[in-house]
Amino acid sequence: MAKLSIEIESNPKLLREYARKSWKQNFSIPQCAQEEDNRFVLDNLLTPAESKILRDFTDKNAVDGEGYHGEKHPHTKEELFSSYNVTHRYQKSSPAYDLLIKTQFRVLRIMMNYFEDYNIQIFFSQLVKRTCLIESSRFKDQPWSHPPHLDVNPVDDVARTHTAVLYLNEECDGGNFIFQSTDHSPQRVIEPIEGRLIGFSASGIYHGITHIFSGTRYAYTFWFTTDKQDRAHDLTHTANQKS
Amino acid sequence: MNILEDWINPYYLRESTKKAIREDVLSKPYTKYTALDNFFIEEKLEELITHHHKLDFSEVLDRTARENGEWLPYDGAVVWAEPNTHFGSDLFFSPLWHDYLSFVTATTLESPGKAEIKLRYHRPYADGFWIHSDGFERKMSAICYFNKDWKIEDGGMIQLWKIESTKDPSAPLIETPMGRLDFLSKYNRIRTSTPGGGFSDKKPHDITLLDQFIPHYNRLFLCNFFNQDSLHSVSPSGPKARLGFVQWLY
Repeated sequence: MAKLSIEIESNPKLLREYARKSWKQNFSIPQCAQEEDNRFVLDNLLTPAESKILRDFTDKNAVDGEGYHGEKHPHTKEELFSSYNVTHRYQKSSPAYDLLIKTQFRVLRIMMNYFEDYNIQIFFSQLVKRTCLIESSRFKDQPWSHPPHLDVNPVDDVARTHTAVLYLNEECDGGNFIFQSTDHSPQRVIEPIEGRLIGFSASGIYHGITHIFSGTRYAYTFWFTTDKQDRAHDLTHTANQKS
Repeated sequence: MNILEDWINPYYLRESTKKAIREDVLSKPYTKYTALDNFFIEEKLEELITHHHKLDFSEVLDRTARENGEWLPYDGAVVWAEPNTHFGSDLFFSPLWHDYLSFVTATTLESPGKAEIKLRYHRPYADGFWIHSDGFERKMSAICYFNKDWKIEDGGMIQLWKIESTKDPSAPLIETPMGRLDFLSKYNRIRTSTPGGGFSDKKPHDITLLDQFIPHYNRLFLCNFFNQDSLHSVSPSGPKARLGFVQWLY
């Protein structure tokens, strides 16, 4: 497929066509002839050098258990969960600041144009790292790093309407992303390839992450809302609170 | 309602208005600029100003932000807006807003998404800002002012300068001025070799005043750095503090 370009990203019609074609070629499965447009997968959003900058930044700044009230193993004892809360922690002086903003901007533009909803705003973003602690064989009882779930629970009273995940991995065995239309329907497996962006509507899309057999899985995740009240809710912070 | 409709006077969102602004900018023979009055929806601007008054402004931050270690005499204080932190950042960092700015100023951005927003406070009796250029990597700027009932005699005007190829013997020679820059309100032609950043030939040139604007409430001044020599200055001010923000895109 041709490479994703700014012309495609900025044009809702071209973007949807591009994403549909990519989905059909790479992810559709025969059992689900009727695919819905409430999710997409796009590749090559970051160069390997850019992914490396964000991985290094995550390694240096992520805090174990952040985002889960300090719980370092929220889903399985065999992994360490660490994250960097981009929304509340990053500063202009951060070395990765420009790249974080540019990436966030690009992801937001893609989400707006793909879903053709220009009220979509990011209310939370984080860099997430899941490290395999115990290397294991593929045959094991616990298959999940994060079992299938819906992203509908309000976070800090903000109604999440969309989610996007951008992968920063270099090498990681397992940790595949799983899409399911319902909790029993067939699974589409999406490998967390460096520079790959997954976007979906938070309601009605079950998704999960399979067990990580070895290595570390890095992702830059974004939560969106279309509710104006919620947007304002999060934007009432002032710089003074931050410093 | 999208973010632009939340913030901007509907008149400026009409396709015909946007095209007219773009044509106006492109028709300027030298620096490409324009000023749009009553730009934001007043209720929204008032809210922004309320938040602005709560900020903790720092002169040090402004001075440490100088590019290339160039020293420029200035007396502004600043807070850098960051996404999800400052009121207004939903607009400042929105792809829709960046598309709007680049369209009306006919700017091609090299790094879409890269943005800098300085929320500014200039004390009363500010010294003014010596002639300089914002160009190089930056592709365009948008400056919004918050100052009600601002008069010409209050100073603090943004001034645009044009480099002349001729020399007028009556033009005063001014080099790296210190203190209050009152001469900026006095001359419309001066000679200097030391605008911010300096001329590449390091020689003095005559520059003439091209245009100047009062920092009026709800005025948005736009400039495309297509011409990298877009020299500008700010004249000294009187007893009023001068507030606003400036946004750069790359």
